[in-house]
Amino acid sequence: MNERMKRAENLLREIAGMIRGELENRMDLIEKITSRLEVTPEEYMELMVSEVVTNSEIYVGAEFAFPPTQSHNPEKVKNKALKLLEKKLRRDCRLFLTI
Amino acid sequence: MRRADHKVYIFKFRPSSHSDDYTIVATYRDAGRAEKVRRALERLLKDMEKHPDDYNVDWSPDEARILLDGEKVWFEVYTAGYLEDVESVIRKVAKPENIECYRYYQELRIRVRVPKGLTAELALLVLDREEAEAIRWFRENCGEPKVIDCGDDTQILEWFYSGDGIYGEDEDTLYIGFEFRIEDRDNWEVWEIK
Repeated sequence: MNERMKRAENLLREIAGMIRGELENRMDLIEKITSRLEVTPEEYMELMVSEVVTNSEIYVGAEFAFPPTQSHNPEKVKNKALKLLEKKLRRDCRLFLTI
Repeated sequence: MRRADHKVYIFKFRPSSHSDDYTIVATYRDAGRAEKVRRALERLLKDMEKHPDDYNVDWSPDEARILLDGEKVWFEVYTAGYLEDVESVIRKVAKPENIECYRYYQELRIRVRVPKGLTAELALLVLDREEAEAIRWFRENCGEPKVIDCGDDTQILEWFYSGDGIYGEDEDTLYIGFEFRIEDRDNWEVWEIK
């Protein structure tokens, strides 16, 4: 793995940790959502982290955030990931809490 | 202190540069779970219509098709792989026993008429190279054929295939690692079931 890919992978790990932290801070909401689902809060959080980190805008952003390309900015990729998480949580609240 | 080495499940579907007809088949423990997922997918499509800004997809909800077949849920759409929201519902509402994803999904019945008593194994030695290769492919991918006695000096070897598209009806050709033209061969028949 070259240096750029190593740094991209580290950024994605950092984003995964950040998303996980955001979710843990909202455990009440997560428990409410998962009470309507078959997955546990832990499984839900793992799925959500994966959904954000493997989103094309996030992993492509991370891949191109380091030299030689550097067409994206790591901080902007992190912010984008947080915004994406908000969208996905809003989606899940609408889909699973309004039934 | 937060963990830095989270277990990251790689979502199966990632956007690519070109579009295909995707079919996702999720199998659940029972029909009740599958029905629950079907209803959630219907809600997802409605939600996409109401809140398009919350979705990053290259398809519109009215282009998608959801089917329920016992404990299986089918989701079909033409896309370049923008399926993360669909996968999210499929994995969260109930735990799937299995998820398969196909491009240009087909179900086919393939029949080849051979001399009576000729097994699929022997046919590899007796028939021409292309026919032998085709039979080898179907044995490897669909298992041993059903043998149907024709009541004369011939029998039919029959396979049922389901998976990624391999048959071009217009060209009457099977794409199984090489182009196997059916119209040139009187003893071969392919029916598209789905």
